[in-house]
Amino acid sequence: MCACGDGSNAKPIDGQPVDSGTDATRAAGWSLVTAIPSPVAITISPNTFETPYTIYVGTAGSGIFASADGTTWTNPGSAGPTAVVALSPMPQRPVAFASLPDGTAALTSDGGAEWSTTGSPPPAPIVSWISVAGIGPLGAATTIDGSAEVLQAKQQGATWVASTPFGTGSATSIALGGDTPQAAYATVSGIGGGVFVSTDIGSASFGFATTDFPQTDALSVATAFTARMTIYVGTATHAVYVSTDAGSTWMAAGSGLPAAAVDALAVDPTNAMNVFAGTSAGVYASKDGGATWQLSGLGSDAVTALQFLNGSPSTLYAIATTGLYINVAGGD
Amino acid sequence: MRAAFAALVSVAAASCGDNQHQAIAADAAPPPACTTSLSGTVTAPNGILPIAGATVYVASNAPGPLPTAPSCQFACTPPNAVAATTTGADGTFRLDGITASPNLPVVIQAGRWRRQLVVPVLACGDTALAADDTRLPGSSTDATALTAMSATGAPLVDLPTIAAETGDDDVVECILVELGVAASEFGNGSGSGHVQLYWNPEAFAGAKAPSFAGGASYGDVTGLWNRYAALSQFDVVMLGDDIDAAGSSKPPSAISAIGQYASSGGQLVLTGNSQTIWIRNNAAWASELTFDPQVDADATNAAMFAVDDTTNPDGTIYADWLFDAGASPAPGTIYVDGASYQCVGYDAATVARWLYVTASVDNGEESSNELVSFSTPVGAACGEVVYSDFEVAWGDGNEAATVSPFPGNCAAPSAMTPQVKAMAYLLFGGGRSCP
Repeated sequence: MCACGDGSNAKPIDGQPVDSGTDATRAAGWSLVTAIPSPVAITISPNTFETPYTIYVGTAGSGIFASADGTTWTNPGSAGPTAVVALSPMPQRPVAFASLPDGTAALTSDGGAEWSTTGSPPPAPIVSWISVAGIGPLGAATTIDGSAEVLQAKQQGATWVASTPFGTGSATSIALGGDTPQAAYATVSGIGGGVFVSTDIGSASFGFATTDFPQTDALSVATAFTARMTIYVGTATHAVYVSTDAGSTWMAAGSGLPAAAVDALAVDPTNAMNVFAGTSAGVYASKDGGATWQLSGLGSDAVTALQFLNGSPSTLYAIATTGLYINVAGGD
Repeated sequence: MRAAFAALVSVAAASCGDNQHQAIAADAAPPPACTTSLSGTVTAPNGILPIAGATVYVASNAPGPLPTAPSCQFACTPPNAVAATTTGADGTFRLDGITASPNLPVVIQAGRWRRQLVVPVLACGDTALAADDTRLPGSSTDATALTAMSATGAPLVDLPTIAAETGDDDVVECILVELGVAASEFGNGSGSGHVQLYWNPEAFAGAKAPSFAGGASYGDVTGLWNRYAALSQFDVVMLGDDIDAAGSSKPPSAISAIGQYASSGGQLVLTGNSQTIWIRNNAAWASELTFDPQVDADATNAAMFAVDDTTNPDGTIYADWLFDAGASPAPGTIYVDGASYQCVGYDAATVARWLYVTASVDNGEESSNELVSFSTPVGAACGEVVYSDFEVAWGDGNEAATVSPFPGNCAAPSAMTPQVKAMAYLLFGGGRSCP
């Protein structure tokens, strides 16, 4: 996929956040990272709160940017892919994966200076990833038959293990959760969409079962690792739902959310009651487990991804229509 | 757990648009207080022997490389620890005060043995680590399911670098085999493995050199102990009972180099009376232990030793550990073969006595101090000298590599004798102070 030279074409870019926003709907806490044009995906590797870490931001056509400090960004140019769909860290190892628009996948093990294609492409294009210690990266994908499946990368993508297909529609997101380390939730949007759960993602033949989610337009899912029975799900037209019993029952979120698609969710890594929703009308925040919501900022933008810095409740990144934003006040 | 989280939000029956599902009330309660913990049992690389006093901690950032040997820096609670605990006498630990995370960085360290893990830890409960993940590493490639790795795929594990001089009957290299160090880690003084094996040609004059299964001979130990530069490549130097009690192969220059090595932070392990010369001829150490070479060795009868749990502050946990490790027939006691009774005195102010024996007319034992250690420089927490008045790896399936090439000359880990276990405690940092 890439020339993968010696990395000498990596270009340092001054990405100091400079713009706190002039739009009245943008809260003061959000700053634009000007270096990143048309971002679409973000991840941080390694996926522990160890340092050093690398922040990766994939774009729609300008490659994958990497930064070790959130300030200075590099782009490998021709040594990396041009466009990205989704990104993931690799568990236990400072390696990052990228799924690409053509359905293939690439990885880097040198902080983003070079990217190379995986040993084999995933059986279906991956739209969302999770990284699971002891198991590996897993990606949610849509089969050619219109069902969802989850793909587990083995030996850094040399081979892939697929779950049994589930749901009818398009896979939209995946998150760890539930009461065992082997549990994960995947969302599907379509006529047979909803929220699906697996409790055996580490097994050789793993599958997902429905949670009787009340809507079919699930777009995003986030779980609270400090309260793993708590699951938040964003939908296209029905706002946010919350389960506090690992998906057995679901409750509609409370007031304050706009009538907008919720493409992204992020839960404070230290407090399950603090949750952020990336909507087609900005970032909304709830500090009471989804009961009430307030606009956090970027109200003129569609926000499609949210990412806390590893283990930190204070630094939140948002990918929005107008670029990559950072909030160092925990979304306030 | 489900009941605990039921209080996370309060639920109000409400009509919610088109779906008639319950909505979350605005008076949602905060999460209930709960305890999140991590537990397990730390063992030697062989997965059998529990390790007492190992540090288990959650790291706030990468712990970085261990110091290049020798160094005064030892396995103390590191500054980057968010939460830390130490293992008990049975090797078990429970680490409280941690935050649930899908990828919690956890470090297990005993001396300079270390394994870094990335662990999914569930909230409000205990996450029990699998036995394989809490094993100290037996090689630089010893990965487990949860072991963290470098970008190139190398497991983030550490082993001490060890030089081992094989003894006459005391085949000390077999201690390491029994503890689970992989055969790939052994070399003959010039390899890249963590353990390099030596012999003393002068003490074994005319004898065939001990050798590896591939035919290579052990390295010449006189080239090691005569040069501090050579010694300083190792965290641990083990010198087995090599017959040369008169010390013709151990000139003053070697005495000086060995002294500098231990005082710089190295761990010097001496077994058997032929190695007492390093202590007797070192002016800084000579007053620590008193030897009576006139006492006859009694290497043929198993003798009952006692654990010093009165003058040694770590003696109680050592006694408990020996018992938990299956080395003691009764708490505070241990049977040992191949003992001599020459260490007849020690400086109680600076020497830690681990095992001792009192005179027995019936069995022929003399009163002596059978396993002792002292820090170096004396009284400072930097390096360490360990002396055993018995041959640690004597018999019980171990034989000289002159008879059977290494590692076939060594017993399996399952055959660890009580006296091998007794020494292993100190090889994993037991009783060693932090600077």
